[in-house]
This record gives sequence, C-alpha cells and structure tokens, in this order.
Amino acid sequence: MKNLIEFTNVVKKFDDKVVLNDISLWVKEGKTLAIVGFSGSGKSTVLKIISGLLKQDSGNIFLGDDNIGMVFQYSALFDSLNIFDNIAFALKERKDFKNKYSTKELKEIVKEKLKTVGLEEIEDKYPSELSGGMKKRVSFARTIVTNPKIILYDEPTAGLDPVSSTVIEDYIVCLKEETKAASIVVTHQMSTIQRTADDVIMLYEGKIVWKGKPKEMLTTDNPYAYQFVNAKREGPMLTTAGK
Amino acid sequence: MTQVQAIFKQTWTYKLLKRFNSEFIDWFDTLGHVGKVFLQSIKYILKKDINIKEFFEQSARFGIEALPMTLVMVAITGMIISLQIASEMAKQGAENYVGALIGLAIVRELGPIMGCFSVIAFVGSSMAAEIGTMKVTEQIDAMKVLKIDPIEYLIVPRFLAGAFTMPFVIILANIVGIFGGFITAKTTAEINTLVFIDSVWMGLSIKDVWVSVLKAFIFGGLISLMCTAIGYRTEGGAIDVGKATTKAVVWSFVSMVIADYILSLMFFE
Repeated sequence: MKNLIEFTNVVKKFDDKVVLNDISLWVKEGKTLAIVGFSGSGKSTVLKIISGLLKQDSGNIFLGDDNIGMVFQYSALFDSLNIFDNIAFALKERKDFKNKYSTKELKEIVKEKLKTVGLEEIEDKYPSELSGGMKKRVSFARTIVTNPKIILYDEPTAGLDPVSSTVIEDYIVCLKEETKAASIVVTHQMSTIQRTADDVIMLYEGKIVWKGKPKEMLTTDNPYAYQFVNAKREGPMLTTAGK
Repeated sequence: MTQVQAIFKQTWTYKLLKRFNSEFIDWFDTLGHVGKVFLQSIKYILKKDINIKEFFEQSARFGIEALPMTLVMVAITGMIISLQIASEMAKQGAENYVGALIGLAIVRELGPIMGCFSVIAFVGSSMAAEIGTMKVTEQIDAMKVLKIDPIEYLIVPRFLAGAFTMPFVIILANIVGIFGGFITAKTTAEINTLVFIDSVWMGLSIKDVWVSVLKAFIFGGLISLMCTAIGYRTEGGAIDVGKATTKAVVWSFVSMVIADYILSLMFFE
C-alpha cells in the first residue's frame, strides 16, 4: 500500500504564533489516521493545509491524488441549494465533470450516494429542514460524489448525540472500506478514535506529543495521552478553557 | 520603553492616532482586496467562464426584488422636485421649463443615484450578508475543496447581473420619476400635459439618456463588486457578518458617489 498523504517537516505560523511546528505524518491508501488534541492545538490547520485552504510556511506535502473530499465540522452544506443540488454540485459545476452527466444520470448518482449514507427521498429538501446527523450524512454524500482518494473529516461527530455519533462513525468505516481512500479524522471523541482510526497522533501546541495505535492510547503512560484519555485537568497540557 | 513613551501611549492623542492609522490601513487593505477581486472577475469574464443560470437568477434579484421600491423612491423624488419648483416657476411664467428641469434632474442625476441607493439597501446588503454568512459557515471553504472558485461561481454572475440589469431598472425609474414630477406639477401648478411633455423632450438630449444608462451600468457593477468582495472577506461569526454588511453598504454608497462625480465631470462639465 502506498502513501497517499505525506506531510514532511511542515511549519505553519499565524503572525508570530507557531501553529504547526515541524510536523511530519503520512497516511496509506485505505487507512485512517486520527489527529487528536485540545482545541487550538493545530489539528484543523493540518486539514486546511492538505485541502489547499491554507499554505504551509515551510515543509513538503505530497498528495497521491488531487481529488480531495472534506467533511466539515458543521457540514457546510450550501443552504440556498436543495439536497440534490448540494450533492450534485461538484458534478455540475467543476470543470472536469461539467456536462459529463445527463440530468437523469445525475439523479441516479445522487440517489446512490444518498443510499450509501442511509438516506432516501430527501433530494428536494433544503439543509434547514434536516437534523444535524442527517446534514452530516448529506455532507458525506457530497464528499464522496467525486470518488476522492483522500477524505478529511473535521470533527465529524461534534454536536451530535451518542447514537448519531455511532452512526457517523459507522459510515466513516464503511466509506473507508468502500473507497479505499486515505482518511484523516480530526476529533476529540474517544469513541470516534477507537472505532474509526488505524493510527493516532496527538498534537499539543503544534507538536506531535504522542503517536500510536488506538488501543495503545488507552494503556500508554505518556503523560499527554494519559491526560487526554482520562480527561484530567492536571497534566502537562493546559486547555484553552483552563488557561 | 522609556517612561516618556509609556506616558505618551496613555494619551488620547496617541489613541486617536493609533485608531486613525488602523482605519487608514484597513481602507487601503479593503481597496486592494476589492481591486484584486475585480481583476480576477475580469479574468473569468474574458475567458467567458460565466455561470449563465446564476447570472439570470441574480439579474432577477436586481430587476424584480428591488424594482417596486426603486420605482417608488424615484417617483417620490420626482414629486418632491416638482413640488418645490413647479409652482414657483409657473408664478415666474416659466412653466414651459418645468418638464425640462424635472427631466434633466431625474435622468442625469437623481434617477440613477436614488435608484441605486434603493438597490444597495435591498440587494447589495443582502448579497454581502449572504456571502459573509457562507464564508463564516465554511460554505465557501467547501466550495474551494470541491475545486470550484467562489469568485467564478458567486461573484462574477452577481457582478455582471448588477452591471447589465441596472440600466433597465434605471430607465424604468427615470420614466416613473418624470411621471411623478408631472403628476405633482399638474395638480399643484396646473401645468398643461402637452406643455410638460414638450418641455421634457426639449430639455433632454440623447446624451443625457445614454449617460444615465452608463451610470446605471457602472453603479450596478460597483454595488455588486463592493458587496460581494467585502462579504467574501468576512471572518469570524454573526457579529462580523453584520459589520461586513454595514461596511459593504457604506463602501457602495461612497464609491458610487465618487464614480458619479467623475462621470458628471467627464460628460457634463
């Protein structure tokens, strides 16, 4: 299996604040890396750099495929478009897909992608008519419609109830198996880490302070991982809420 | 830091200068950003990368949503001018010039300006808020990740819709404005219908009409550009969307008035 994401010695600063300090990571085809850490540790910045929304100040990034999908924290569905148009958006507007599919084909593709995330008959609804969990699943469908080989998840279970979180975690695993994509999941939730990830890295103040397998995270004596897993106030890390 | 510097930093003069400096920087920063968005939009227009469906949808917004209020505003403006001058001119025996004066004021200046003020309030502000909200809710980031340039998809159609729809709106507004002036002149100063119409024809030239159309074209483009470009730059949350909307409205007003002065200088000096 080849690496689809390679991040080598990446540094990113905002003004004088170093957000990512010499970070290196890689993700192989069909594997999922979870990035964990407290708020403000630089997790989302990694995703934004991979997706091209931000540029690193130094370091190298290799992406095995330039077709990237991203699930945003609050779904980021286009609220002026209905669900059909949201999912079909890239196929209708992107230069490499434009005019490639007929309306009938688009309807079939959207229907199939909705079915993949367990939704049906909602094509005519608007995002404001859906629950948080449904919006998230629609954003999954929008993400996979272009068959990306790299999928990024920014806190996919944030704000969801435990059952909806479990459903979303199942879909992350299901998409990994179906698409064989290299995925990165940024999360705070232990259940998401344990159920979806193959590897975990932990960031604190822009540096990797622990890496290992999800199961190892539960038993490690690394003070950073221990503090995170056991949700302790005492430890080497200060949360933004605790500062 | 010396003690003198520390004391100086506590003074109102320092705080005022600091505020002035940051406002000044922000002014140039915004101007640079709008200029950059304008050039990128022109690049797409020259490449003929235009989303026609979105262009017509946005044109409908300019042409239909804002039209009733725009017509009412310009009609009332025509009535106010008429109310102030028709009786006085009739008393001086100059009723033959009432139509010409109202026609000139509306077509050359008040039609485009008042019409566009109304469009800024109705369409421009909602565009800035819409794009600002899309920015803070990551919808614009989602668009970029899907490899669709928001400037091409969101800004170019709005920019073109503003520029190409406003001339039609303003032509209608000018007609309604003159008609408003006529009704008031007729009722308050008993100006004869034929005399009024004749006076309008006598006063207006073809140049007045096409400059009015040109103004509408430029103002429409400016309003769309300012509102979309400033909305596109919103960072933060709901309060920042509000601030960006206010800024977009103010910048649209100011840029429109400056453009109006330059155009009047070019064509009517």
